[in-house]
Amino acid sequence: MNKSSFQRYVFKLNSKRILEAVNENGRYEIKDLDLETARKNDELISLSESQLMRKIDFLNNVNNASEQITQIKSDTKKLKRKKNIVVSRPLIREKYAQLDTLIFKKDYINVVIESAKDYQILCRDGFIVNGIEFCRFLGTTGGVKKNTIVFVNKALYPQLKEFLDNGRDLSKEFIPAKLEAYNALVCSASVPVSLPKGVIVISDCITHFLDTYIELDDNEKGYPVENLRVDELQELNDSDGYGMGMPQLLLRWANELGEDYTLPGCVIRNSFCKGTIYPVDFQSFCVEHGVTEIRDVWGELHNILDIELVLTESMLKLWDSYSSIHSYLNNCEKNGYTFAITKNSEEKLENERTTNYQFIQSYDFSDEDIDALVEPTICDIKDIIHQDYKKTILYHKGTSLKFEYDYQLDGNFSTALMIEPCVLDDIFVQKQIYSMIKKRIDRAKIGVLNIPANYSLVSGDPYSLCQHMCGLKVTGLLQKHQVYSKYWTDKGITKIVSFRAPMTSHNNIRILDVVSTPEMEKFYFYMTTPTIFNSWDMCADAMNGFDKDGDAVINSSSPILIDKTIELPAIKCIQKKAAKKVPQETDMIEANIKSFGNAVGSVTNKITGMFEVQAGFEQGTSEYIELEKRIRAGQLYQQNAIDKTKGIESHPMPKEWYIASECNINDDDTPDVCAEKQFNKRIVANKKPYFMIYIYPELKKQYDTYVKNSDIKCQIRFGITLSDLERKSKKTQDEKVFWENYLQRVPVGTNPCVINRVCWKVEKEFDNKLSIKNKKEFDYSVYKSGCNYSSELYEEIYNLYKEYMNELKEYQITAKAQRITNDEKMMGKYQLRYFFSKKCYIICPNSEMLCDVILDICYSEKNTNNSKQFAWDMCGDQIIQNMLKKHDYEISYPVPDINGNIVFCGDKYSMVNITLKRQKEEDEELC
Amino acid sequence: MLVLNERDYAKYVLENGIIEKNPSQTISLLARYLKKEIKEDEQRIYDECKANGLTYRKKTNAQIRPLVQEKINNFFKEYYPYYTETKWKKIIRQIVINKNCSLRETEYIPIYKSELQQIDMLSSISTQKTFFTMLVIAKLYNLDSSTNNNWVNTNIKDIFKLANTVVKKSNQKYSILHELFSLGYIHCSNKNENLNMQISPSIIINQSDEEPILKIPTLTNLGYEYIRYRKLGYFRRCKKCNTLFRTKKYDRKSSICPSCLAKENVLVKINQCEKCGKSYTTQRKDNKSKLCSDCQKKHSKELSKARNEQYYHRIMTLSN
Repeated sequence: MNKSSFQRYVFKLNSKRILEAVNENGRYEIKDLDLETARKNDELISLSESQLMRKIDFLNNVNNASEQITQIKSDTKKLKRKKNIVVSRPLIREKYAQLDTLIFKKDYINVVIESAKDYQILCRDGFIVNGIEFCRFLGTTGGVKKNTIVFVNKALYPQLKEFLDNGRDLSKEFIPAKLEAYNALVCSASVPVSLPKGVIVISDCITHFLDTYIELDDNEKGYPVENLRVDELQELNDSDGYGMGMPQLLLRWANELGEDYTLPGCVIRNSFCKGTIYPVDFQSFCVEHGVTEIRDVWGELHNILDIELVLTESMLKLWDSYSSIHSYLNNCEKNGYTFAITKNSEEKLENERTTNYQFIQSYDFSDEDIDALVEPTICDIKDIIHQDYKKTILYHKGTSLKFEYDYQLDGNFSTALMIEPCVLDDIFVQKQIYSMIKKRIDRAKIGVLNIPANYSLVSGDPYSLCQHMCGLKVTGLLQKHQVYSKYWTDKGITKIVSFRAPMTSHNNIRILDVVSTPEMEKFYFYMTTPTIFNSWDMCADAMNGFDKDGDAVINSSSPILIDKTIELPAIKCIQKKAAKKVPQETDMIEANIKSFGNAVGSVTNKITGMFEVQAGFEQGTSEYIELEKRIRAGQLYQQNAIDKTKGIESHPMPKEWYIASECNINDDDTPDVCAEKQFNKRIVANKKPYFMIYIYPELKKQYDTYVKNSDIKCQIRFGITLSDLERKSKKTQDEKVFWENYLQRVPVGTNPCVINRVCWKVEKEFDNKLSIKNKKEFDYSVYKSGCNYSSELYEEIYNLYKEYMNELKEYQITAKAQRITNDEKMMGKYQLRYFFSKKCYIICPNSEMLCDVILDICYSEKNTNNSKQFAWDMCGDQIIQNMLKKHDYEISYPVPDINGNIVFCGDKYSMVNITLKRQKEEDEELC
Repeated sequence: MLVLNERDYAKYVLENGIIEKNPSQTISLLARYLKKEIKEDEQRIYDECKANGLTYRKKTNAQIRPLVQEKINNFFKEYYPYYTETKWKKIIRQIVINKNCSLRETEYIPIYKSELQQIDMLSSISTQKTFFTMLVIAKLYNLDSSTNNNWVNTNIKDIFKLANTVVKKSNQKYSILHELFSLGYIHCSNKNENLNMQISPSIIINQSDEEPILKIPTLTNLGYEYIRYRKLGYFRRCKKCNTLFRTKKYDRKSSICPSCLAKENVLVKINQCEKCGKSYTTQRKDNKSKLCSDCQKKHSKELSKARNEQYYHRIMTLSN
């Protein structure tokens, strides 16, 4: 989305920290927590704009916050050009203070709950931060998995609660966890769009057909029970989570987002409403079929020509809590709800995407297949490893650089390369390239491989939905096993393989026939990028139960993947249901407590471990077959883990499947039990596979330490290294025992499963072949502005530099120790950069002068050992600006060209030069 | 950091604001020391009250812990640069809860004649120094725990550092240890990845009536202790830290080890802040500073703010 939603800062506090801060009145109170202190304490996070944020702004009489923020940023940019820093310093300080007030949401706090008891105390007593009293509001779906609950200003709570309930019928019964999830929709990051001219909610399109599948359920002891159901009657909600919008509506919304094409699909939010909208000219369909009026889910008739947006009952979760669509929309208007877009489908799909290990781990690949699968990735890495700056640009910036790109140049090294290739001699640039390649190699080791594929939103067959809406017999345009995808049709591809994460077994992979007829092309005309699934098979069940409310699949035309995919019946897990009630606050709290933590990831890892163990057995052996069964059952335990969060009693995976000590034989075990335990011990998946050392840094550390210590021990005991011992043909008894122990106790699984083999292949190709070769001197004056400055200024910024480096180091240690996600890491670094850049500009508001000071701190001869990261983090943009000025705003970059002389990933490119006129004009204007 | 007398060392740490490379070690030491101190104080008060016929209820562990945490927190606030209280509080709390109040208070490690004779039988001086060091460490741990059974639970790198044994390649270290293993001087643990080693019970003497030949007073430069015993070099004991350090044959002046000397040169004097009265440390030759760092920061900020405001008003008046 071009129209980006601004990030807002909120506090994220730990429950223990709050409970430790007791004031003189015995209340929990944290005083004087400012943004800077919170950032240092890792208690500040950024959140995107959501309906809730906008409501809080409204209640605080803050109008058009995003416009105000844009204005302040533009003013600050101008101030940074002022030569007289004494004049601009107080002004810039003021601007930053205004910006902080706008971007910081003082009325909203995320609390990380350490224990259920803490949570109950906080809900009961509330707490005070900086003089504002907070009370529990809700737990978002993603938040509760990480034990995080949203608390809001108690003074705003009544209005916010009214806003949340949006006039719904409060006497209706719900599963509390589900209602909490519906409530949490107000926290989704979204951009508001205009109200459609006419909205209708229709019933879902349910189809029935015969299909073969594996039914999975667990017995009383928690063991899976498998039943193959052949040609049994199946029911499918084909419209689960999606609706239709008239193409003009999707175009209008696109324009509001700053795009110039009809959105091929977009994920929307409104009060209790969640789902995807696809552009379909349903009015023409109705006219063609002689239907003028449509009955909505409440039984009311609507003229179809007055309708722009069709929602389904699965989208508007609480439709039955309202008496009519008018009642719903009136309440939305009264409470300030609007339709808002969280995600929209791109105009064009990519030609290449990467796999992840889940997609390919279940294949039976030969070594040749693996070589062929890995080849494009290896070729991709080899292209950049030789430090050809043109290929580095292609790798870092992507292969489809456009002219429009000129206006938003990032302040990073690859932009610098586009202006002046000599920056390749800068050690910082070399290190950046080295780190970029290393990361790519490590990703390849965990099965992130380039394949011809793309991600696309999932849709049901809108033709079926239209037929259903008009009361016609539902036939759809697509038949069983068929999909419509314009991208693949245009490429002339008729068979694709489709995956959806999270997936566990081969049964989750589908081979699909891509079809297209003139009728389809006409009817699906605007749905250029989504994948349209038919209404007559169990694809949704097979692919781990996808629905159409924004789920995406990855489709690939890779011949190896298509050839090696075996079509297996879908797995259907028996769904259990929790009891409904009229939820009270205590029910919601209880539901949150049950939802804390997320076991789905750990179940998935255990199944991956089973693939590795299975690779150690011959096909057809009882161990192999049992493991295959357990892998299939993985889907059931994933489902159970999800059910647990909804308050449904469900069984976890049997412990003897993944804990070796559970298979130990006891003295009183019968011979049958002993035999069973021995069997279980042989196939226990108690170790993570070898390749996972590149996912879990602590596992790598554990593995490396194990190998290193074993090697040392071997040298101490036998006077030879571990590799010598491995090669030694005639081992002594002690040596044999030592070697066997070594193999047995290695902390990772080293059987030749698919991903381990991929990992070893990539390791063989690249390990110990990557190094930084810095021979040439680098003159950093290419980056400088040529300003003079005082030594006091230098000292002050130098102190900031030291502080920054120390904080960055500390942050990296904490990030490593806490295993935070990449997004969180990025957010943390962004915050660090923002706050330090603010400090820098308050000391030296002139960006050119600041740039020179910082460059002298980081690059000058006396400071050769200083980190250059500070310079690029604080004034990367100014460095690029200075370089552009020196090169008369000329940049060169590679573009696809069949006659080009740059060969990258099998395609040809040539360099083009352009002058950034807009940038030049703007600069001259500012000067 | 291995120390014989942890009580004295903890006092030294508190007085001089010393924090180890791994701050958790300092927290652990201070937690044990402060807990013990508070408990001893409590016991003293209790005894006094009892003697005077008064009743006194001693503080429980749960009451002592927050006091210890607070003291450690204040110590780190003062001496650890860029200390963030919220981040460290959890770690401090955890360590304080986990640690008991046992402190090692040993004067020296005794080395007996038969042990030295066994060491003398080893082939090279490097091997001798290494084994001597391991022997001292095993004895130290035996003093700490009666179930230690002569295990040396220190990593190989630290053993060689303490032994003042320099090797060109790391595998030479393992050759030395292989020699000791082959000769039966040390045993290895059964787990492949566990690098702890055990001194052979036939060599080590944990209790003896005979007078020790060597009394090791500090756990630094243990290799020098052995060389000194073998009279293979000239050494002197530092007056400040009791460590052995090499001197030249006729050097009779040096009384402080190089590291203490370096510290002394940089070291610090204590001034009193003119604003808040708090004592603060500054470099020895610094005769200018009059304020502590906090007050200095505030003072500079105020000055700069006043200057900026002055300019701002002037500019505003001009622009109006």
